[in-house]
Amino acid sequence: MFFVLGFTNARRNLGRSVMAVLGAAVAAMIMTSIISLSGGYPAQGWIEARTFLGADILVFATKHLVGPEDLRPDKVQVVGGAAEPARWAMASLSPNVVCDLMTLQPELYAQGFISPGGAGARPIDIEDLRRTLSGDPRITQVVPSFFLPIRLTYEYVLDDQLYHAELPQAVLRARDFTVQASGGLDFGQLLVGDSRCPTPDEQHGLVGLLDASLGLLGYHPPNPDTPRLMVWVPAVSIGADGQVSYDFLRETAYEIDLVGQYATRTGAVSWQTPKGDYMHEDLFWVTPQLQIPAGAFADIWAGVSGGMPLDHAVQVGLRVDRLAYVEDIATELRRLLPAYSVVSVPQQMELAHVRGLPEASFSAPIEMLGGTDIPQTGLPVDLSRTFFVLVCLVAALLMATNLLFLVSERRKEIGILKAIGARGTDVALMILTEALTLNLLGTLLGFGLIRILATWTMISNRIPIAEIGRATANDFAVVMSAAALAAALFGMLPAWQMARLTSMEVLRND
Amino acid sequence: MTDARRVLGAAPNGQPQTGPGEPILRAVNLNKSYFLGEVIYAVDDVSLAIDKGEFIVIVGPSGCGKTTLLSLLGGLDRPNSGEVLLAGQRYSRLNENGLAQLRRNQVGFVFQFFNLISHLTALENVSLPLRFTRMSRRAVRERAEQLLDMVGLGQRASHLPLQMSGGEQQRVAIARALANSPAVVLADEPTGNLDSKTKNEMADLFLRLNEEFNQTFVVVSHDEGFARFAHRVLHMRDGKIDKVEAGGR
Ligand SMILES: Nc1ncnc2c1ncn2[C@@H]1O[C@H](COP(=O)(O)OP(=O)(O)O)[C@@H](O)[C@H]1O
Ligand SMILES: [Mg+2]
Repeated sequence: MFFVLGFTNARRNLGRSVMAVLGAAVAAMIMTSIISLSGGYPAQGWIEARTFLGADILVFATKHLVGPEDLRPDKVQVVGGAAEPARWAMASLSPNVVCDLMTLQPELYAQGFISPGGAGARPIDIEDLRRTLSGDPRITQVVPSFFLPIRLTYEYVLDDQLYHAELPQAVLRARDFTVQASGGLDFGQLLVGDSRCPTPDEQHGLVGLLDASLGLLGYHPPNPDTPRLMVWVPAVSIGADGQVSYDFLRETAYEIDLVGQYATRTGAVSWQTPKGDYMHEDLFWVTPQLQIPAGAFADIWAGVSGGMPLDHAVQVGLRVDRLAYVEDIATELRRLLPAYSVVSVPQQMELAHVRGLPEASFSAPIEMLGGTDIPQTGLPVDLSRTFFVLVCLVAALLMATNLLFLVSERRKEIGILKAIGARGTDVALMILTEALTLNLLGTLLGFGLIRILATWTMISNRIPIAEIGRATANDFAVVMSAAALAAALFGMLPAWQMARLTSMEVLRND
Repeated sequence: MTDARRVLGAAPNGQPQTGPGEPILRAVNLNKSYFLGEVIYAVDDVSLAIDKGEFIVIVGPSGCGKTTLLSLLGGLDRPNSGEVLLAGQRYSRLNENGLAQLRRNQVGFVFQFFNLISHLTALENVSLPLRFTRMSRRAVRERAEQLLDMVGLGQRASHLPLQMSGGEQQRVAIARALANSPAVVLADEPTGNLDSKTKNEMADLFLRLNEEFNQTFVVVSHDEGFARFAHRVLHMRDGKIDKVEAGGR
């Protein structure tokens, strides 16, 4: 019967009950959103992004929430100055990094999602794209990527012996080294040894930079005494269907003067060996890439294509200032450019790549490298640990005050019930019933409200329904049990107090 | 009003038998003190015996311990020392649940401020004590309706306390107090909050219940109306019963 009383009470005092339910709902909303944000989306975003990357156009945002490890000058610029001791900060990629899609997405490149102009690639008319996008203030930069598949031959020295080497599947890539002159390009960070960058004067010079990490792929560095590479470029043609084709039987050789080598550090791993030694290893993005000035690239392109203008990129990145626009823009572009595949890069994805995705050839134990999802989960886990606990505390406090209010309002009623013979346990049961009912009702409401939004986001990110269902059920269980626990814990105290209350205290002074 | 005798006779809890002349309610050397800077002897060595069917009125200045005494007699509070016996049961031998059960089955309370549960209807308020028992829902409902009829509120069953006058609320409270056919009804200034006309009606109702059903009453009240009907009037002062008068009967 005390269940019934609890219910009746909740029903008749509708105003108060509604307040309690809303309070619980707010608490649940907070909890649900933090769970939805910290768990489900990023992990899922990773899987999903992989299934539909391979696009012609990547839309990405440039601001990130990053952890301290990312606040390195060679990786990011901290908004408001690098010296800021912020634990977490909004950061943007350095312009040097961001203008290189392959640097941005090294793992995607490694997985073959970003094809350096291989067969089947459909070139993108950049001017056409610029016109299509013209006037859209949300897009801050159009970043075309020009690649050519090449073969490299060079000499190297080993034990005073001269050898000839061949790198059969290398990539020739255009880079705008002029930005350096304006002070915007900080390429020096990436250079190895006494390397130098091509100067702006060398815009059309046959000079280049080679990835120093090639050694990690088993290749020896070119002979420093004769730093010359032979670049074998296939003939290029664009068919009537717009497809690029490369004819490796008609190669043209170019001699490139190697002015330096670069290395792109993507991250670091520290670990302790079983013997107790502390080990540290830098991680690099490894590609068989030769970077030459954009002008020189255009010249070579003209040579091997029979004079076609370099106005078709293999891939284009669209830089967007605000993450909030990314999905919208991608959706719009898919409609505008049905011939191209357009892909957005979720923020967490991108961050994962900024943090670096290590290669298997490193000596760090594989658990330390942890496959591809260590950087992926780094952000959400760190955030959720702190925030989740704090937020749950706030939510629990909200529920607690709710319940205390609910109970203290009913001291008199409880006194009456005890006077007519209710036992302490009956009273406690009644209060707990009411607390649990209202709290769970509110939690249901709050969870529902937030989860509709979260589900919408997940659906629009093309996460499979089964996966959404599983994540929802999971989070539902977590939020509900947290609410029930809070209700039981914080309902218990007042319930116990009330159960001990003697009627006279309530009834005497009224 | 319906046949009230049948109503009270239908009580689910048989009252324990007491021998002839055996008092139904007894207090032996009851003491209750509070400590607020100094010790206040709210009830100071009170002994009394009340027979079945007796109508007792307690009077005394404010703060002399009347409410405290009633709460001890009704098992709402524990004395510092002394013993209360109701129908042969010693309160000191009962644990909290035992006392709750005793209040449920053997004691009816009527308070100055009615103390109805505001979100329950008159009928539900009266039903409340019955719902602790094993009675069926229908039986509970029937009995509650009869009790309301008996106090003349058959038509107001579905009204909430706030929709009723003070006198009507108090009559609902009396119906509730009688629901389990208690051995004794304890009333603490039941008319303290009512106007004089309603006061007299209330006194008449108590008298009728006492006369027709031999219901035992202990009423704290300064109303002449009650004193007129009382078998005995106990005068309290500083926690002691300092005078016992014969009432108007
Ligand atoms: N819970 C309590 N704590 C301290 N003193 C109390 C308490 N209850 C009653 N008293 C004191 O006990 C005395 C008797 O109170 P009470 O029985 O309410 O008197 P009455 O009902 O006759 O006015 C008063 O002096 C009162 O202040
Ligand atoms: Mg009093």
